[in-house]
Amino acid sequence: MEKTFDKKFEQKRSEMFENWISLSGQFFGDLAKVWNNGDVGSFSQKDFEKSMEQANNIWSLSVKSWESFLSSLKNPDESFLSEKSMEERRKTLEKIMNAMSESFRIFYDKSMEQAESLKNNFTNMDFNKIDKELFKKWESFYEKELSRIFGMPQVGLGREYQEKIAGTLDKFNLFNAAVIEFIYFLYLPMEKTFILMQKDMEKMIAEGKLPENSEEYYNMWLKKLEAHYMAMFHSNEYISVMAKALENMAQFKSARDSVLEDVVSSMPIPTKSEIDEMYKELSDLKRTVKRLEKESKN
Amino acid sequence: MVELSQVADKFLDDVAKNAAKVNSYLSDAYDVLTSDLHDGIAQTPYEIVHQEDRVKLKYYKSNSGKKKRNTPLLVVYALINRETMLDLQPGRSVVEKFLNDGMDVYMIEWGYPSFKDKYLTIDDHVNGYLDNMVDFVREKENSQKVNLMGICMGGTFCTMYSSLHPEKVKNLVLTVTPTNFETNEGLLHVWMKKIDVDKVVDGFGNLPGDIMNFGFLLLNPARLMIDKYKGFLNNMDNKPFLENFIRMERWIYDSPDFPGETFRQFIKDLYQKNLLIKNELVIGGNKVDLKKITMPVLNIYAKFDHLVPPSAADKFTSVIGSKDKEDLCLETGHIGIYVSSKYQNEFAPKISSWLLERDSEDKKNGSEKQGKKTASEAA
Repeated sequence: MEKTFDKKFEQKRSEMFENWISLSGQFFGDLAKVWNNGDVGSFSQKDFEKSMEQANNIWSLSVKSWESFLSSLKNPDESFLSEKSMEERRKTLEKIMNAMSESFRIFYDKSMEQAESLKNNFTNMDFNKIDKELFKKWESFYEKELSRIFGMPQVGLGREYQEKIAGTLDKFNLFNAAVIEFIYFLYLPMEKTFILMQKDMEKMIAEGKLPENSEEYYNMWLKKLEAHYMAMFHSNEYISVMAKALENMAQFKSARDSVLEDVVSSMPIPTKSEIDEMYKELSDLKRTVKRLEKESKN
Repeated sequence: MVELSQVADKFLDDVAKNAAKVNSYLSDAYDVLTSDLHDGIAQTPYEIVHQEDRVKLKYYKSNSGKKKRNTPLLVVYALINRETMLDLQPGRSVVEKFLNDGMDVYMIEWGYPSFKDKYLTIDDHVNGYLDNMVDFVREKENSQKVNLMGICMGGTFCTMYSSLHPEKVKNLVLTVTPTNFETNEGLLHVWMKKIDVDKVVDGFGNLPGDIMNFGFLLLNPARLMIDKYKGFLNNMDNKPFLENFIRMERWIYDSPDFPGETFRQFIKDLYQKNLLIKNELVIGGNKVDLKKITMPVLNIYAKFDHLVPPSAADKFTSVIGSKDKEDLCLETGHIGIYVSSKYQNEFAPKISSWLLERDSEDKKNGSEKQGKKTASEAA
């Protein structure tokens, strides 16, 4: 009787694991398909919805399998610590890990494939060739490839929060890129001035007309630096980089504030939006009261 | 022919020669830096005679013993930085010079806007605070009108006010006041045309003073971020220099935030659309018509002003309705006009005498008396 039960139990458990592994394989395989189908950004909404539906079905079946597995554990007589079952479980876990690692590999390969497009823009990493084009290429690469990942639709209960956090990370990256570009621009006149200063000094050395003291060198350098800054500050290129840095900073701040509001909303303190709303009402009320006060005086 | 190595040797020689001097200099500098420095600003005594929200009205009473002027003077500063610049230090103070000339001075202190002020518009500042301050002064001084003196953006507010309430303004004095924004001479005018002010205001609410300060430093980083501090390092053992330097540092980085909606409107309607000089600006539902400015106008601007270049200020008198108007261009910069000893001796006495010549009695409860007094008669 006991032997019959053990056999039955082993069979049941084995079926359940096979079923679960197969479903998990389908689930991760499906996820892999999403990445294999090409650019995430070009994966259509319809395809995505279909895949999600399929994935949900698989997930539900997996949950049922787990329920069945857990219910089998309720019976203390049905021990599953036998050597055979341990070996089976190890194999199962290995299969799960393989499926997961395959999915991550596909994800990683896909990211690397996308990163290739950045590599193509720069033949060899030559620091002498890095110029302001680098920022444009990075911006274009970021918008085409990376920004889309942050913009991927989120699902489930935490969707709104996840979207906000991803959006903030996106804005943070854009802000950082804009600030680095802006700082690079501010450095350009310095570099140009030093190069020019070097040339002028070579000329002065050749003519034997070097300044008497370091103060004169400093004044020469400062005058040139000022002129280079003034020339750059009037250029459209600089103005757009400066405006972009300021705007991206403001947009990152807005996104960050929005995430912080979600955190604050769970605490017994008013959020910035609520205070803002109150300030707006207060401003309108004060305006009205002051107008009426003035009218009554007149 | 000189070799490059000779240049390097010369530098090293200089350093070696100065090494002993440097030690002595640093010792003196330490003594000065740790001594009692008289670096306070806004030392002239005043009284707060009125307050509305964050906005205060300062009153400086003249003790010169000279005859009191008939028309009170109200000074309107900008929303950028603080009015303490007009009273930087004893002996170098526009306020002090006015008081010595027998003029009592009222001055608006805009205070430090907080988040609750972000919805305040130009209308709130001009037809609200400024109008209420003018009414308070008129009431207190029993005067029908006031003399308005505007500083920079405060002058732009005074321009709007004088057009909308000409019956309350006796004389209008504008100093380094932008009224024409269609110019590419000043970097601010070039930059402000390109920024997306909606994104900035929506993100920040009020524009932070630190961001404005950084923007002003960027107008000339070579001078303002390098040369200025090189001057400081060279003069740390010079007490009067150090005191002046610290006073300016205190003033220049004392930057209140700029109320968001006012900033949005100022950039869009003025810097980007130049509506004021076109008589198309609308404040509180009323069009600002510069032809309605018919009182005497003195318009002072600076030739080397990098913030409000002459082209941003010199068109104004040609588009207003006043017959009695004067432009005065001083050969200095935006701040130099108020703080340089040389131009203070030209700038403040000019305003004082110009106002005195137009200081007829205008009692609030009596009839207006016309007449002119010369500076010598008043003295």
